[in-house]
Amino acid sequence: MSFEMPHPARPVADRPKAGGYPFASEIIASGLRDASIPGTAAYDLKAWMVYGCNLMQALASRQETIKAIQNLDFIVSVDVLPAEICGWSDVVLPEATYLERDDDLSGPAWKEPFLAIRQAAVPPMYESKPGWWIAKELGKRLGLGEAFPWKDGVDCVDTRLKAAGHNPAVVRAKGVVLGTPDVTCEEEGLPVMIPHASGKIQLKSKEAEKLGFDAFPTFYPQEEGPAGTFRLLNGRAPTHTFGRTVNNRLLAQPYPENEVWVNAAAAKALPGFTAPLRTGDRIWLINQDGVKSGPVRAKVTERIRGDCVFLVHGWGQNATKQKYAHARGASDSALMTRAKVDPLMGGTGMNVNFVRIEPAEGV
Amino acid sequence: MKKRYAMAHDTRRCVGCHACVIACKTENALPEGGFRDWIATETQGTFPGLSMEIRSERCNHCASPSWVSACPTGASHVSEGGIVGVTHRKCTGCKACIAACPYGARYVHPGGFVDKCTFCLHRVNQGQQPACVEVCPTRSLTFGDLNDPAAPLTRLVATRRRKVLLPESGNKPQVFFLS
Repeated sequence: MSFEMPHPARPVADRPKAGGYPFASEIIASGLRDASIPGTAAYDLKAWMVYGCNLMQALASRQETIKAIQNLDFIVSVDVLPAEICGWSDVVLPEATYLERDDDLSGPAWKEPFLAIRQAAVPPMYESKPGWWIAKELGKRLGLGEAFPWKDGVDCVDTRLKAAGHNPAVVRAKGVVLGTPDVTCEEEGLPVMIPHASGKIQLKSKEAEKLGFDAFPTFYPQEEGPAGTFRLLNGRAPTHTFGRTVNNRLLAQPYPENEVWVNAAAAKALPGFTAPLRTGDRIWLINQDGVKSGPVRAKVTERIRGDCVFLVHGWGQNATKQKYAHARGASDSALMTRAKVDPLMGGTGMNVNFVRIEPAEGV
Repeated sequence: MKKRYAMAHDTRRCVGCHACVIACKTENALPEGGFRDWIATETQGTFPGLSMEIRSERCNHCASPSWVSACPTGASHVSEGGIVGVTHRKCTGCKACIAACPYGARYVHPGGFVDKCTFCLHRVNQGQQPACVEVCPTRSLTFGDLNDPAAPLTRLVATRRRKVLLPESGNKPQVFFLS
C-alpha cells in the first residue's frame, strides 16, 4: 500500500527553492522568505501577497525577513488589523472583520464531523472589503474573471452547499450542521494505515539513508548558552491563540501583556541583581546577538525549569496603530534571531536562543 | 419547590482560556476594567513535582451572606433562587458591601454603583444558561437548581470531590469547585 497525496504533485512554481527539503511536499513561510534572496532559488521571487499573517512576529530571525523584503519589488498585505507587516507593504487591502463577511464553509472530518458556516452579521465599515470580494476583483482585473463564476460570497457558499446535498436555507438558519460520528483512529476500528510501500512501520529508513541522513533517528545534544543566560522558550496561552489576538480590546483586559516566566529558585540569585526578582518586577531581555526587548513584567514561578525562561508569543509589537498591543510586553520573535531548520522537512526550531535578564527599574 | 441556584466548576476540565470572562463582559456590557468573573491559578509544590488548579471564580451567591447587614440602602438583596443582587438605582457606591465580601466579587462601576455577577438571571428566567456556562469550550461550568434532584448540577455536587472557597467565612458559598 502506498500513501497517496490528496493533490497532484506541486508545480515547480510552488517549489521555488532550489533543492528544497526532500521529505516536504511544499515549503513553509520561512522557506519562501529564504527563497526571496536573489540567486538562491529556482527563480527570483519579486513580490509577496501576505494574507492575514504578521510575518514580522510569525517568523524567527527578523533580520532575515527584513533582508528578503528589501529584495522584493512589491508587497501587498490583506489584513483585518494594522499589523507590523502592513507597515512594510506597498499596498494594504483592509479586509472586513469576521462578523462583517461571508466566508467559505468549514467542514472538518473530526470524530463528530460538522459543517459550519460563517455569515456576515453587520455590514463592513469604512473601505474594508470581504476576502471573497478582494479575490474576485483582483481576478477580474488580472483577466481571470471566469475563474470566479459566482456573484458574491453567499452565492459561492450556497452553490457549494447545494452541490453537497444541503439546503442552504437550513444551514444558514442553524449555523452548524452535525454529521454522523465516525471512527477516527485505529483504536476505534480504522484500518491500520502505514504510509510506506512495505506496509510496515519503518524504524530505520532506507530513504533517509540514501539521501545522506541518519537512517535511524540519532540524538544530538543541543548547544547550551553562556553562563548567566537562559534558554528562551516561547508558546501560547489559551486566551491568546495567535499573535493577532493581543490587539483585541476585550482580551486585552484580563490578559493585557505577556510576562517572562522565571524559575523561583533562579529568581533568587540573578546575575546583576542585588535583590531577588519578584513577580511584577519589570525587566529587559537581551539575547546572544544583543537584541533587547521589553520592559516586560516577570512572573516568578515553579512552572519552569531553572535554565529556561518562557514568553507567551505575540507581544512587543512595534505597530503604533495597534493601540491595545503596542509597546506592551516583550517580543519572543525579535529575540529569536537564530533558528535551526530541520534538513528533512524544513520546519523551524526556534528555542535555540539565549537571553540574559537586566532590571528595567530600581529592582 | 423553592429554587436554589448554584454553580459547579470542574477544575479538571478548565484550561483558563478566559472565554467565561469575555462572554460575561459582552453579555452584561461591563465597563473597561470591570469584571464579574475571573480566572485564578494555583500551583502547589516545587519544580518538577507540581500540581496546578485553574478556577473560574465569580460571586459565590452565598446562602448566608455577610453583606446582609453591610448595605445601608437596601440595594444589596437576595433575588429569586438565592441569587445575590445589587439594585443599581438604590446603590450609592459606599463600598460597605465590598468590604464585607471576603471573595472580592464586587467592583465599583464607573456609573457610581457597585456591580457583580447575577448568574445572568435575565437569561435564566428565559430558560437559558448564564453566558459563562454557555460559551465554555471545555464544558467545565454547570449551572442549575440544587433543589432539583434530577439537575446535572445536583448530581455533580453530590458525587464529585468538591470544595468551596474560604468555607471558614461562614457565608455558605454556592459555587462548588470539583476536583
